[in-house]
Amino acid sequence: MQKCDGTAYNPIIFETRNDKNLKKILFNNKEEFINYIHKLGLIIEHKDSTINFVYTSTTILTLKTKCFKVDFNDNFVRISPLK
Amino acid sequence: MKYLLILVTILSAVTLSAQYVAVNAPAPVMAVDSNMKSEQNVLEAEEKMLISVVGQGVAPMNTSSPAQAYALAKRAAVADAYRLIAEKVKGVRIDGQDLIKNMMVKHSTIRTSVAAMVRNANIVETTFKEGLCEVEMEILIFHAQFK
Repeated sequence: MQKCDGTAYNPIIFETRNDKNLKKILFNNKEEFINYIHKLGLIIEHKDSTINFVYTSTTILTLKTKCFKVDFNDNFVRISPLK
Repeated sequence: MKYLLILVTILSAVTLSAQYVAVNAPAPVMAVDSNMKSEQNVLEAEEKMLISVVGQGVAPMNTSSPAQAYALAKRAAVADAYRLIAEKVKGVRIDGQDLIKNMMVKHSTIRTSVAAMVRNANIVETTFKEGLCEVEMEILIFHAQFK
């Protein structure tokens, strides 16, 4: 883990429900978080092949490496990427 | 009579010079035209365009619940939609090879691939019907980014 510098932008806020475990909070809001993190930047690698009329395909989605600032308040957690 | 001749000479000279101007007139017009074209290109480059795709995904057969089937089908449909956007914006690389012996196809291979980075794409609509999940996705990009 290394220290990141930068200014926070475009935050997303989740309810903590008295839980300080970030992993659990993200799991409880995974649909929303995945949709949000995809918008920040996503690398797509797709390959497909048709050999003797038999089709196979592979699509790999890789998130961009990014630093985030995480602030816990009483009832909410604010997650902001750093630019 | 002498004055009349001089007048006719002056008139013909004026007509000639007018023709000269008329012949040479298109040159500056062309310069203006090319400037307008480059301005138009700049305007087009700054123009935004909306790309819309529909990704499809199918749930695997061995799921533990209908909810898991839906979630997995949706995930596949989202990945397919991103791939379609990447293909539209960046283009697709296609490699093909056919082996033909004695006028018959012995082996046929078609490979396609795309690699891109997509940002700020929006899911517009998700539908799930008869095991097929469809995700409509849109992205607003500048004309200059579209290659």
